[in-house]
Amino acid sequence: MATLLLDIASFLKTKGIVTGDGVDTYRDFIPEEPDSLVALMEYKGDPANALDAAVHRSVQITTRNKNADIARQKALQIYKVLVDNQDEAYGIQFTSDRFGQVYIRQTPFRYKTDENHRAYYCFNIGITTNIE
Amino acid sequence: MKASFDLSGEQLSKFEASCQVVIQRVDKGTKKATIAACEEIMNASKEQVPKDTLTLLSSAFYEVHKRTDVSSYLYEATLGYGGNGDPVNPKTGKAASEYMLAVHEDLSALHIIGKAKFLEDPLREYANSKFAKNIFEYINEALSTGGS
Repeated sequence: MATLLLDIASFLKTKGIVTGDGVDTYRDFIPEEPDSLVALMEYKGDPANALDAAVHRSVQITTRNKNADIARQKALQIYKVLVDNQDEAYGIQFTSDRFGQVYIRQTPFRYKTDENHRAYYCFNIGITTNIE
Repeated sequence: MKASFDLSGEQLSKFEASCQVVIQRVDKGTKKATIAACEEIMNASKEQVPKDTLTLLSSAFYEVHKRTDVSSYLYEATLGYGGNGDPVNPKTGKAASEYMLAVHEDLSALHIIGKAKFLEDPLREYANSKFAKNIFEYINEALSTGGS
């Protein structure tokens, strides 16, 4: 099983939303270049439950572009592909090895503009899935 | 099987009065529990909020309101940053409310003291591990002592 963020990046690639990991999609860091990118960052999840192998993890999905509208559209595109691929129990089969129940915490919103006038949009999700 | 009982008007009045006492005690307990939850979450949040000029820290606030749009005894709390007159950062000239979202959400930013998600993390932690237990304890206390 690959890492959670790599599995999400692979999922977005199969859906045609990103080109690929390290090309326009980055995990756990946001590089200075390129201007247009998608960043996946994992942050604090919930404590493990002794009765369940799955854990609840938190992931922030960020998009960046010099054109704020394009950044917003890309974030919305990712948001919609997650919603459209959820089953009735919010489950998504990200890869053949990775299944997770996805709880989208909010719709995409703009949280900053950097010194190079690039707009950042993000939304946060919770995923109940296995730990690698 | 069949059961029947008779209630006089006086007994019904006593029953109704005792129900009102219980409702009022639950109301007091709920209010105390909501305030205690806000205190605990904000104390944890203040430990985690990035501290450079202390502007964000000084803008931390919470408010507890009784809901007026419903007939039941419900309280709701608003807690966050950008309150207390929305202080201005002396370095940037920006009000706390103008940059608090960026500081909270920017996971790539480096902070010497504090971290991003300084409100979400304590809130989620409280909701997952303490909320139900604390509500139960405050309501239980209010029912047994009258909530004073």
